[in-house]
Amino acid sequence: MVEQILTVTAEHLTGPLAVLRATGEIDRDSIQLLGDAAHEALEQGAHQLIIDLAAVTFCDSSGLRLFVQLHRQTATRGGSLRLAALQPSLWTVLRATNLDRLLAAYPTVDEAVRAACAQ
Amino acid sequence: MVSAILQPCYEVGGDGFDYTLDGAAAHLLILDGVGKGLSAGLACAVALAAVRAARRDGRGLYDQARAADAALLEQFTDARFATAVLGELDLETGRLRYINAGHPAPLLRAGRMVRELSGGRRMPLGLDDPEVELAEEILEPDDRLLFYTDGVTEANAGDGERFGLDRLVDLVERHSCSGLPAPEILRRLTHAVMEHQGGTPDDDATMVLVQWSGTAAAKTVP
Repeated sequence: MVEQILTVTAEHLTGPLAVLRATGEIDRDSIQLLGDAAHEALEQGAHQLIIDLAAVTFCDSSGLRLFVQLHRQTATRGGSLRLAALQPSLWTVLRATNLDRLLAAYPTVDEAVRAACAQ
Repeated sequence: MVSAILQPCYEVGGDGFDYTLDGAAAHLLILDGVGKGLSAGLACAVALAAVRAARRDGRGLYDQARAADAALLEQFTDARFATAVLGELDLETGRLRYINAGHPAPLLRAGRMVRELSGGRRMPLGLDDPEVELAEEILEPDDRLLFYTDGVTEANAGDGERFGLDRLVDLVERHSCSGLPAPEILRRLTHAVMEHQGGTPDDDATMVLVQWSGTAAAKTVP
């Protein structure tokens, strides 16, 4: 059996708010899993999307591309995408590509949830 | 003297580069289309064509980057973008101006020191980022400038160990002191990257090396 490099769970789904918890590595082989979970949440009416990245150890450019897509898709629904609890290596990726200018990132899921509720 | 090399991965990659000399200036461009396979390659091609067309129109670096933003947003409805460095080197004065669209910072070897050029930053091409200030650097004769894509530094030895920036800087330092011409230095750098990763590369690795020097230019004439 092939070891799963990424698992995604939808932690919380009430009304417009959805928290997706990803565990593992986000790359071009695993990205669809996260994309599917996010799009399912969007279809169920969530437009305040939070991705908990605390247990994500690696994210390549396909992950960044999905984040940008989700940022746009939530924005057209009047909501937004929030990234939470990034490990230092993910911060580095976000800063190196200057995407920290576009994507909102929070130190903890709680803070991301509070910001989403305040919107 | 400008020299460039693209070591392709097995699948379709997204790297690209372009350079032209128009007498007064050298125009330099390195690109990395984000994502996988043909999708990344298309983003790269669209951005490259847009930058080139804007440059031929006589438009500056800022407008060239904005032209790529517009082209990518117009061509694709899903998020396609490319990281890139656009540079313009004045061949008379050695003044380099550049914009870095979310790409690894270029390396400058001045004297014996190699350092990153960390200015001119904006988001990747295709993300409609109007906020960027051109960065400027004055090169001295014989300085070398290296643009590279992350396929170089991210090259994976299989055990998870990446080629890394330190190794790249170290090699540029060593080879630059050797007096070797730019194409030979690039060939050696590429071999070092390929040797490090052993098997099939899973990302394109691209480098553009510029040497601003009358002597180097003269050596290229047989």
